[in-house]
Amino acid sequence: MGTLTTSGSRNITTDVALASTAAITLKTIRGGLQLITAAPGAGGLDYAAGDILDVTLAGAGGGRVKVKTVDGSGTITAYETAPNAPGSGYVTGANYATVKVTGAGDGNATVTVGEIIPGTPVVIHQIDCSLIADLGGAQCGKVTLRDGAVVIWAGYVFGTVNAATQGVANYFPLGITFAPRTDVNVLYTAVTNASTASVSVVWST
Amino acid sequence: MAVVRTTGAVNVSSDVAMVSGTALTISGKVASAPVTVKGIYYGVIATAAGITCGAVSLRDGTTVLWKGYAYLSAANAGESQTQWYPLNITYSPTASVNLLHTNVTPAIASANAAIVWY
Repeated sequence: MGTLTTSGSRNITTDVALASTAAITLKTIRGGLQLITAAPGAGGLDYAAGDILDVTLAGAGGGRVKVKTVDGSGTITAYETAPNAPGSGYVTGANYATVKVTGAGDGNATVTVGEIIPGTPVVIHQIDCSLIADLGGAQCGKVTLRDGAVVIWAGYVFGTVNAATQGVANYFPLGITFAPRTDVNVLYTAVTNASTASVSVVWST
Repeated sequence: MAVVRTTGAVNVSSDVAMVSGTALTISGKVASAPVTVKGIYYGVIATAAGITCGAVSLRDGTTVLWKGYAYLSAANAGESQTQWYPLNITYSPTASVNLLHTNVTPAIASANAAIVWY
């Protein structure tokens, strides 16, 4: 899979053999914390309700969460889902390490970030998708524009070919503007045969 | 039915398994202010091999402003072919802006549809 970013305001991500259920990512969104998953992956020991923890991630800082409930050993059972402080530079993800700001916790609790504050709007100018036949006959593939796993738009490509490696192209002039929360990606899924595809996305920020 | 309202100057509502007789309505759009429907994506999704055809209608409430058809001869269920209709229709709705999918052949297919408007 090749990715090419051009100079200027317009960018192109291109692929010439994108497998079924594979995605190409155009942009990963970084921002302040917006939603914390209540149940931690690891709850640590000796924490108390109301403790404040810094969320650790390379390239990010200032994001803080508050402990909501603990069990008898001080293991965190839930966080407040609204962050104590949003910080900046975060991406959504699971089991980030923490540093205690207040309290007596052992420092082993982790935090999962469900959402970050939406980033700068992106414009998806167009998507070009050509399915690549793996054998002769009817071919169908589906291309999906997504914010993380959330579907923004979906389209289908369909055609009949007489041999493998033949392609059928569709051009989708989208002109969609939206403010992503996770990452902007395009997913290709084979529906009937057409196990791979070439996909190009023209977009800008 | 998934509906996504985007921010910015252009908005899109998207659906990837819209059943016949249901409408995709642009939420929050009230009467009188003009809207421009830049285009519609639409493709009927086959539920069985064979001829599959559906119709899509752009409506103001139940008043049809524009109608288009999508067609494919599917080899398997689940196949679809998305059509792009570059409409650039500007009008002042009096009820609601919505997109209605209706099966033509067979009676139980579904559709993917999206409307790009501002």
